[in-house]
Amino acid sequence: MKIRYLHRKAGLTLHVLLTLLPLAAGAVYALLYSVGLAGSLAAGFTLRYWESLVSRGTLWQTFAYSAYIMGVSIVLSYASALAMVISARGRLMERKGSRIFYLPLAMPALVLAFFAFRFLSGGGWLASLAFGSGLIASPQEFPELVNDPYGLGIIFVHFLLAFAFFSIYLDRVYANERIEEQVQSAQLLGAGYRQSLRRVVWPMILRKTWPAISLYGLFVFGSYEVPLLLGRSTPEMLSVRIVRMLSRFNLDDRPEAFAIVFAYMMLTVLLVFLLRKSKGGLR
Amino acid sequence: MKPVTGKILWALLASLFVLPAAYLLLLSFSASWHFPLLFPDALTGKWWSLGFTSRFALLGSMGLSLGIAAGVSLLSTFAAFFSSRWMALSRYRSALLLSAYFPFVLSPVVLAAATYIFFVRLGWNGTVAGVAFAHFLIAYPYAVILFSGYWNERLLTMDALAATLGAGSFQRYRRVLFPLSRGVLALALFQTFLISWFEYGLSSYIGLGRVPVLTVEVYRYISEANPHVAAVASLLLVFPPLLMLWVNKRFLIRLI
Amino acid sequence: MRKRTTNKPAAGRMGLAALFILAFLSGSCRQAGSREARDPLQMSWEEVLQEARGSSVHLMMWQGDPFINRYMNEYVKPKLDSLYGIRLVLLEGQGNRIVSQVMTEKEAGIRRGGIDMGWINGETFYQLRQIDGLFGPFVEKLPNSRYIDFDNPFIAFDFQQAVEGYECPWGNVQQVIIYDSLRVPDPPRNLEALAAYLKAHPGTFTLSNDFTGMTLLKAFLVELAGSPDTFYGAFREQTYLKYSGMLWDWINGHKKYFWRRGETFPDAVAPLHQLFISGELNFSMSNNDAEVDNKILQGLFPETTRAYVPDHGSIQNSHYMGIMANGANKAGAMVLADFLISPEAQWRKADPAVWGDGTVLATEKLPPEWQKKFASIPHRKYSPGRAEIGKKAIREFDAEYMIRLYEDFRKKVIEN
Repeated sequence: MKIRYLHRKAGLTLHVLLTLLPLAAGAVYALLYSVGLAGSLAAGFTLRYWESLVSRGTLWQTFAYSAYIMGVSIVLSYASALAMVISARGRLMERKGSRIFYLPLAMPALVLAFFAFRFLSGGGWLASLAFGSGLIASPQEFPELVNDPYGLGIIFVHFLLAFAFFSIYLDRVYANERIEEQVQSAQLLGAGYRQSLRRVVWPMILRKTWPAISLYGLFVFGSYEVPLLLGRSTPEMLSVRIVRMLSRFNLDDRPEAFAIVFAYMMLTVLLVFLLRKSKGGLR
Repeated sequence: MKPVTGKILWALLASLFVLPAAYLLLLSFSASWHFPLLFPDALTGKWWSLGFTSRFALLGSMGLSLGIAAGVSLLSTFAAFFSSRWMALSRYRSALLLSAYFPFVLSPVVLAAATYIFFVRLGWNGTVAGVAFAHFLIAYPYAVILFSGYWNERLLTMDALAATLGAGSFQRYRRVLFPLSRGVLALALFQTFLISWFEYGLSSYIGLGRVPVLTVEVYRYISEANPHVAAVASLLLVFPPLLMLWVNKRFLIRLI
Repeated sequence: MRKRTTNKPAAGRMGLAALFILAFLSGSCRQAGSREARDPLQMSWEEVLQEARGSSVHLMMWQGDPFINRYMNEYVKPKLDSLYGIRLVLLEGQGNRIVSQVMTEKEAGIRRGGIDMGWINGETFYQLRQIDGLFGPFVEKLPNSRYIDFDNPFIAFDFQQAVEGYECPWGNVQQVIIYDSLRVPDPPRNLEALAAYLKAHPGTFTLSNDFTGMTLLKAFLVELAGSPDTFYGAFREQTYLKYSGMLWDWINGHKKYFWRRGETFPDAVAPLHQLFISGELNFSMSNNDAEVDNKILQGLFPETTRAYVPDHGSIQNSHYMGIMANGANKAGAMVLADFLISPEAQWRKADPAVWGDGTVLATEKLPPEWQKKFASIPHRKYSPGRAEIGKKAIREFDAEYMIRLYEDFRKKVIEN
């Protein structure tokens, strides 16, 4: 018994080391680098990299843009998936051919982004269609859908992935939580269909799926290859910006990049804690 | 929803979901295909045969990716299976589980950027083992989270019962826990496989271009303006998950 | 007995994982590996060849062009293997990635780095020299270096900095603007004409936010200043501020007529070419003056594509191979460098059907049979002649100009 207890303890220590150590080490290094205490540019403690980031507003811009992409992608995909599931009364996946909902999940984001570029760009397939039907006379007239100011291309890919995911997921929640029965009993008690949606279905599903929404949102927030292919020079999403700054010619960019890394890591830690504190949050 | 509009919507969705794969398939077989052609002007198999020549060596990349993903999947699933069981019995269960969420939600490429210096120190950057270890760092927490809901009262009781009846821990794993957990183990194996198989940013960052996993190759052909070979490589990347979809669609539902 | 077997799987797994962790913590370096290399600069060439045999060379280079990749993979790789028993491994990455990698290795205290050799340009050369990242002087050691045309200032100086044997010239090119003669019968020859063209055809021109685009900006600077002499010599802050200020004003003034109103720029030449092919852009550009032949042969550009150098001239520069000071295989890298400047490798590379890269050899120094071969390289069909555009060649400026252009193009144009 004693030996078993020992190896359990060792295993769990290992677990903590595997999950927290790389992150903690990375965060400490990033912090030290950003204040001039680590790296080949280190020349003693300084806050000038942070000041320059904050004063130029680029830090906020990057976070705000990533949050915007996250918000729009998640709200759009969640809302449309929920609408589908509710209108199918939680039996969406029982329909014939529902297997196609799984198709986007079989595609890596990189491949979908590549497809989106070929499909949506000014010289792409949709533009060819518009040209063939006489809507546009040249590629320049086609609306900007990739590398565009509103991140439409990025949102399109995230929407495709998240919509498929949420449809399947919500459909399962709808069935598992016996929501249909709740709706019926609410209606028996005199509630209208709309009322039962607002009072019963919506709160129940939201409470149940809140953690999944948040986690998915964080993935979109940190996504890399999609904005790398479909984004524009500025503003950039977080991961793209960090990687670009770390490999710039201007060596001053490195400490600033590490400052963003640190800020992002701290933000994630904070969000995970908040998520855990929130009702129905992480288990 | 009226049946007609419902059908139209359904058809629209179906085409949206099928479109990417269909388009890439056609692209991989087209001699050239550019604005304003709606369909390629001629079909050819040359990109596929070219993809497997020594210059492109896509088969080698596919093998490498398969190997890394299989290794990562096995290691992370079983490591997580053990640790999640110990966790379920631990006083610090929720704190331990929480620690798995951090690497899980962080952008993999940022994780790579932040820890790159350590990989370099260890000489693991640009090596297959280094890339595999980096994949493990994100696949393992995922598996832990997947298993965390699995160790319920009933299972733990059965385990304890087997122990009271005199089974050693090895026997309990072999005779009780593994057989009971076949479904969830398969799920974890496939999903951690996909995490590794799909990973681009982390692989390219840690791999230093020396570890040509399939995603890195796809990106290379895209940036070389070689869309046809990029389409071939993309399809190779999509093929195993499609196979999984055919075997058991549940395997694809994952949060990454 | 039973106890022992029961704990085995868990213990084994733990041991393995503990190994990972320990390695992660301790940061034991890769130094300890294989043979401790002697300094190849102290060896005879025979010894260098001996030392290199059976080794692998890791070359980091830009791999954005199928022709170049094919030349490396289908010609250089097998040749290097059969002649010298060296395995060539290509790593994807441009100058900035090389600098970043070498810096990280320095920060980690690694003496045997992951890159042996890099395909570099002036600004990378400058930065690597600054952080003592380059090995040398090694060029004189290479037997084939006796053919290199070091009398040519476009080769002996890289961004105004004397090469001094720390990088080996590989090719010499001049920037050209690419256009489709069908769509643009009379391409603009100066900034004024370009402005007029942009107003008449908004959205059809842009530049890439990379080395090629910055090289075009240098030619614009020359037109604004009236003469390239303004920028020759060491970096002068006043000169830079004055003319770059004019440049940003000009670009920002005409930005709204650029592709996507100048709010975003393609980040490399490959996407620029793609936009040109798809018809979104009427112009592309290249630092390889034979690019048009190369791309028409690939079937990517229409046959009506042409290239030219505007009146303000364009930058002619050389590209080089540098060996990393912390590279693990310097001998192998030297053999590779020597092979790349061999008459045969240079001759093959100069063929427009292979790559079309200008040679760095002084062909008159070569043995007669090679002189003949160089003279009979198939002529370009669509690209302008080298001699003709060479009259409008501008030498590279001090690297500091390039670094500042990169920086300010982002801050004053893109983020403006």
